[in-house]
Amino acid sequence: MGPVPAGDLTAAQRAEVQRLLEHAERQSGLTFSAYVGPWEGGRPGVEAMLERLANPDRSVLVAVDPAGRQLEIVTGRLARVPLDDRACGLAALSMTSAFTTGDIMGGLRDGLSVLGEQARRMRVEWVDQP
Amino acid sequence: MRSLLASVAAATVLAVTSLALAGPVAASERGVVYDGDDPGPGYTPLEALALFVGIPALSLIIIAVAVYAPGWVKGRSSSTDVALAGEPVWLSSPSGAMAAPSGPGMITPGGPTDHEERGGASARW
Repeated sequence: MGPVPAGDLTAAQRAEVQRLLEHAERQSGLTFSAYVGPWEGGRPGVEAMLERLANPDRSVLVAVDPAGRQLEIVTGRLARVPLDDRACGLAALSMTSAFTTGDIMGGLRDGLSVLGEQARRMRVEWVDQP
Repeated sequence: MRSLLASVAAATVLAVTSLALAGPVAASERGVVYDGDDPGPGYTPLEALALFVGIPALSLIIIAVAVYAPGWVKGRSSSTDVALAGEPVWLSSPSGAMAAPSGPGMITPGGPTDHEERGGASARW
């Protein structure tokens, strides 16, 4: 799928995001959610959204405001263990690289891939530890 | 469209090259009659044009339509999704449908964590 204007997600692109979320969940065992649109209250507003999820401690929420050019990645208390802030920063960097060109879909694709992969890596390392 | 033009250009170059190479050979054989030869009346220019240009061109068009038609149809259906644009989108992975991970080192609600706060990252562009 090619670049889309800020804020525009077609039904097909939503379906792709849904697939990416499911893939990230399968990789990591964490619950992934994505919100694309405006929100109020800055980062606390996104943390409040996370609180409304079924299992906020095990959840990862990626919120993108294309109009406000703002990205927030919030991890729950337990999700923060396999997906630390550095990994989230890496994902945010890859996402904003795409967002600057107006490619919202590409940014979501890159970010969710990075998050799922980073969480999976930590999960595997723990299993391998004696 | 660019690849279609490239395909047409490649086909044209191939046809011209083939004719250029075949021409001298055909000329050298002209007038030679072998035993059992029955060359027939030959083609009129119109028949030859239809046979060697029309049919290949028609085949090319049919193949091009077969290749590009799905993309055109898909593109048209995507454009109808514009009505959805701009609305807030909220999507979640189906965590309820999967079993929680288990095993050594797996995070569980009572698992190995000393984090009390939310984590993550913020960015603007």
